[in-house]
Amino acid sequence: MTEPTQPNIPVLPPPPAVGLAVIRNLEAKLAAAPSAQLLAKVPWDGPRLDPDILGTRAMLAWLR
Amino acid sequence: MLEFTQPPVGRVTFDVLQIDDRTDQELDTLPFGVIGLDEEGTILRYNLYEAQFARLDRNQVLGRDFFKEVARCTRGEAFEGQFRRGVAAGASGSFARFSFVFDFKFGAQEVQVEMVRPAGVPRYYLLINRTRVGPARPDRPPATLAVAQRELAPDEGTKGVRRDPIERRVVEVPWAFFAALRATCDQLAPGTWQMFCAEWGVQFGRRLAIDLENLAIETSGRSLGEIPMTEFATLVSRRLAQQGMGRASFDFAAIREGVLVIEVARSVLAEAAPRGRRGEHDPLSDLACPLLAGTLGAVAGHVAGRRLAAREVACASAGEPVCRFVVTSHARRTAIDEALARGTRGVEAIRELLRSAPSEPRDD
Repeated sequence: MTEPTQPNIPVLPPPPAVGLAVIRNLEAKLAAAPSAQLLAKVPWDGPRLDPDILGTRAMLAWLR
Repeated sequence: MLEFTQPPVGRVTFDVLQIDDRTDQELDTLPFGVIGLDEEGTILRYNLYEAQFARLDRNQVLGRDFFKEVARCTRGEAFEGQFRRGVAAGASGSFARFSFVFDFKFGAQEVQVEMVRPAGVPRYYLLINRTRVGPARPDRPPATLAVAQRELAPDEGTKGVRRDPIERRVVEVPWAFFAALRATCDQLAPGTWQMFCAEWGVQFGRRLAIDLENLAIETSGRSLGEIPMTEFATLVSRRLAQQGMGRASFDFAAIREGVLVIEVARSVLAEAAPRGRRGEHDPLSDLACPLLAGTLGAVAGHVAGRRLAAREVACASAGEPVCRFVVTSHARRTAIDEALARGTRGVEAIRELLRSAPSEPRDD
């Protein structure tokens, strides 16, 4: 039995800008025009829906 | 100062004064550490989040003295002293809040602590939120560091216990384990096993979310909700791949319609299922991955802070190149389920359906 290792934090290196997850079909980030409601409540970096920029919670707020 | 009644992760409101009424399962889905003590400091409860960050197995810490045997770094006036004074004074409600640094052998963690005694019970709760993690502080005497898992159970490797690099107990199972699960489902619960597996997935997803929160704060110092969506997708995909579940990809093309599409290639559940059958009495039998759907929906819901629904709409077990899942608001699940039961399959067909299905306004 291999003894468990005990690495220092962080356990994993920081995730790469584009990692294993393939972010497909990013047409939305070029074309999306967020609603005024969303603009008012989510920090927005221009008229884009960019998963590289937009926080996860903000992105998931689009689900309905 | 932290408001534990409104945890920083997610939007779940939580009344700390009711914490003693929460089941262990409920405590395991909270995005901060919870440790229940008696008035002597003996550990009575220890939730999943705390176990993951402390890299300890709760089965090994329950019944031990928190200050003397487990978190030795908390001995002294700054932490233990506040607890002892609160107990001696017969404190009730929230009686101490402070910042602290936990020193482990594997690293240091900046935390914010709230001590609570629910009214009428002889139990005390430590609520612990990690704000930053880093390497071990070199000036800490070894005897003052928190205990390590291998100290609590030094010979467990000889007793058939395996752990991953962060000391979680893990079990390696072959593909046949999932084939056996599916065979059992088909035999005992044709037509209803999907509900069981979906809920199993939801329960697992809530715990996986805690695991991912741990990863997020260790890798980028932020919660899952705060990191860019790409990083979240990477963490999810990487973790599922590490577990051998398959490889997840995220498609945001339909996000303005309120739909997130996730593809999973080489799903172990799809490959463990009988090939390409839609049973006469089990119209969803060709969708083999409700467990994975539940998992994905629960992880997304954790981050969103509201209930979301994930459904598999095309499956590799039926000959599709990959399994495809849609994630939407909880309100749309019935429309999707009815369509799937009628035989509708595929992302495009479900998107078309949802354009006329009830939805909910974004809750931001």
